[in-house]
Order: sequence, then structure tokens, then C-alpha cells
Amino acid sequence: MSLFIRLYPANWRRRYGAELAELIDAQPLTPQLAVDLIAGALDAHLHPELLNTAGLADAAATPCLVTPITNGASTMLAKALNLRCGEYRELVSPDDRRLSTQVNLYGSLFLAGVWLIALKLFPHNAYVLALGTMAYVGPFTLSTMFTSLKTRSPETRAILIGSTLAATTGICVLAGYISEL
Amino acid sequence: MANEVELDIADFGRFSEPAVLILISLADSPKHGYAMTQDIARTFDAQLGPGTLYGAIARLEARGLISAIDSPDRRNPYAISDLGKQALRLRLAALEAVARVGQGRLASA
Repeated sequence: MSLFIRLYPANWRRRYGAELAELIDAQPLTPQLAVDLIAGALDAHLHPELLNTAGLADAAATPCLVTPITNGASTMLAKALNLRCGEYRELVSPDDRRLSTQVNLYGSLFLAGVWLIALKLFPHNAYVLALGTMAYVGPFTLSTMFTSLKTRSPETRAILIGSTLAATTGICVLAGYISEL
Repeated sequence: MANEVELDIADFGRFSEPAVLILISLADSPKHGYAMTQDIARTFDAQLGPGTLYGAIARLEARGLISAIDSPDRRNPYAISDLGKQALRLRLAALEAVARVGQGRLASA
């Protein structure tokens, strides 16, 4: 059972490890429990900012750069554009947010332009049509290096971003292949 | 008055529902993790896995909606804060409104 605890980041284990271990020991090991713990460990790695408890609680009262956008019912667009700084506002500086937004907007505009040219050159090509999704997914994935992946090491960021881009590109190509069948 | 972002449990994603159950469980008294899972299982017939439970606890703590109470035991009890009570009231009111509309439409169907 301790193997599952070791999947969590060290600071997470220091904070919640003993409590988590007690809870795990109180129940039999099942596939559902294993999946829950692996998903929990992955989440802990992806959200290191959650352990900066005091800072985040204080920062929550501080208006963030995009408060006018995130307030009210329009949060979905802000989240989709990675503008909301709710969960990592303490670790992400205004410069990081600006960079993230620039990568998202300018990257999407550039890739959308490239995609439109490709569409013009290959109007009925299913692969080109399917890869259009990458005009948004690509810049968004890259922009996470300034936000949710900011605290990760350069190697970890490269692996996570590279594998995500490879996987999403692969899915697009597969969608194109299926359309061509 | 706390701002809207601070009190919005709905943006916890898959931890949103567990977070509500945890706040409800802590609303009457502080509890440690094991006691919370027992209370939630007994009251709502819902099983929270340890990974899900502590993912939600970490988010609630980070927002200042719950806090750990110092304990000599290795199990830290958690207590709901005033901000947590406010967030829970807002979330329950939203759920109540959803239930009311749903029931009303079912009745008129």
C-alpha cells in the first residue's frame, strides 16, 4: 500500500501522507482504490500550488488581472483561454499570464492562418481538416508552461507538453485516416 | 464579503461534488478523513476514495474553506471555516434552484 503513497509528491506526502496511509490501510486493496490513488497522485503532481495554502487563501481576496472577465457567468471562455488565475494565482505572475495569453492568442491566429492556407491548397484533404483542431490545442498546451506547469522542471515540462502535443496530433491524424476510409 | 471566485466550489471540476459532501460532513462538527468518509457513506451512500477525498480536502484548504486542527494524533481533524459555510450555503442554494426547476418541469410534463 505504501507504494501508492510514494506516487505522491514529497511535500504532499509530508502534509497528507500519514492521514492518507491510515485511510488506505482501513480498506482492502481493490482495482477502484488503486485507480483512485493513481489519479489522486497525478492530480497532486499537476497541482503543486494547492499546498501553498495560506498564500492562496490570502491571494483569493486579491483581484486577479482578469477579474472582470472571470466574474459572472462568462467564466467558461476565460477558463478555455487559460485566463483564469484562480488555482495558481500566487505562483503565476502578471508577466506569466500575459505570456500565456499571448501564446494562446497569437499562436492560434498564426496556426489558423497556416491551416486556412493548407485548406486552400488541399481543399478536400481529411487530414488537413482534422488537424485544424491543433490550431487551438497546440498553443494552449504550450501556454501551460507559464501557468499550471510553471513549477515543474524543464525536463518534466518538455515531456508533458511534448507527449500531449504528440498524442493530440496523433488523434487528429487518426481522425483524418478514419474519414478517408 | 468574499469574492465570487473564492466561494465557487463548482470550479473544482471532478472534485466539486466531493467538496460539497465534505463541507456538509464538517458542517455539524470537525472530523478527520476517515470519519468524513464514514459519515458520507452513511448519510449519502457515497464512497469517496482516499485520492479523491484528499484532492478535495487540499482544494478546500487552499481556498480557506476548511482548516486543519492541530492534533497530537497523526490524524488531523478538519473544521469548516466561516467562508466554507458561506460557500456551502451558496452551493446548496444553487442546487436547490436546479432541483426546483427540474421538479417543476417533471410535474408539468
